[in-house]
Amino acid sequence: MSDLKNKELDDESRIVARLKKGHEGAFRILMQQYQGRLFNIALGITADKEESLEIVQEVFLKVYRKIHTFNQEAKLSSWLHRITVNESLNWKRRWKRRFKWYHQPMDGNDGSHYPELTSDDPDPETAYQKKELENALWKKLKELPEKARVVFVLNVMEELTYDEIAEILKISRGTVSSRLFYARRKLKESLNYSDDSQI
Amino acid sequence: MKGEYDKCDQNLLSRYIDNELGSDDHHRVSEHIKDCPACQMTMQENQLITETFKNRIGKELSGVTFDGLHKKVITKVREKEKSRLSGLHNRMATKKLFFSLPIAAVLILIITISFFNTNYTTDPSAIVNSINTKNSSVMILETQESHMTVIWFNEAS
Repeated sequence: MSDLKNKELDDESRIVARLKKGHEGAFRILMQQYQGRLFNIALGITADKEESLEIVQEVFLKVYRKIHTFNQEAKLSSWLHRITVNESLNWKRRWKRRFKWYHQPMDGNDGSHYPELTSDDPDPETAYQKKELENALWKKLKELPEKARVVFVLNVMEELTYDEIAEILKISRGTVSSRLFYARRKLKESLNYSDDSQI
Repeated sequence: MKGEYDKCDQNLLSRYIDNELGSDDHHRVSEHIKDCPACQMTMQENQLITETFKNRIGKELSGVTFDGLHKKVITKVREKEKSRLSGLHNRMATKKLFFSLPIAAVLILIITISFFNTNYTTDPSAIVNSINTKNSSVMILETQESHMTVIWFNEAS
């Protein structure tokens, strides 16, 4: 297990060294490794697919510009997470986007209220309830204060420990714990939309 | 179930879900959940929230292609690299000019001074000694003013 961790760190050091020398190949590897994960974080925070893609793009450009400042005291992934979170929150703070945030339809990009039923849905009723729950949860997530949402997204999507989240966001372990508890309590309210369908 | 774990502590449960409790607390909460339908329900609800959220994000991710993003990023990286290199080149050229101009000026000054200060001796040097053999000849001369010794060697071809 520790051998695996050492190997990971070794690989990471190598890729960082190559990135610092400006190797394009290393940059491609980095994008391949992290694009999906960073997109997930950005999407969890912004709830906007197109903007999340732009955020990920901006994150990689920032990494290219700032890699010489990365001193490897923290993990590369933690550094990337921090940049992604900051970029996502900055996006939200832009007033133009804020308008879109509060006015776009909550249940998908097409604005349709009706769930799309896919072939692996067990039956239309269950599929409908599942989709309704998803929409309700998504809506609740958007209503969460951003601090709680960021902690929740990092915990769920990246499965980070309290210490790792605390390091990325520069907050205490206790704050991580309380924000996560708050987020869960709030999100649980969305389950009232389709009580009979779950559990 | 004894003591503080008789009551359902949602905060503690949240940390239990995240595997953030010490082994003793973890064990106690684990034991409590076995007999507590309310906590079991909370656990299931949390699981449902996590799964639903992951599912939604996963669906969005599956519809995304990153090829365009790669192209954009690499293009911008190359542009920046190009402009960085050209900036570096310009700076280097300026630096070169900055350092080479004074050096050139000093060199010109030295050459000029030495040109005007040089006294060319037109008088012949004195021959101190000369040796001639079948294959070669050696001549030792001394310059008139500076008294420098010159050894002249000639090998017959």
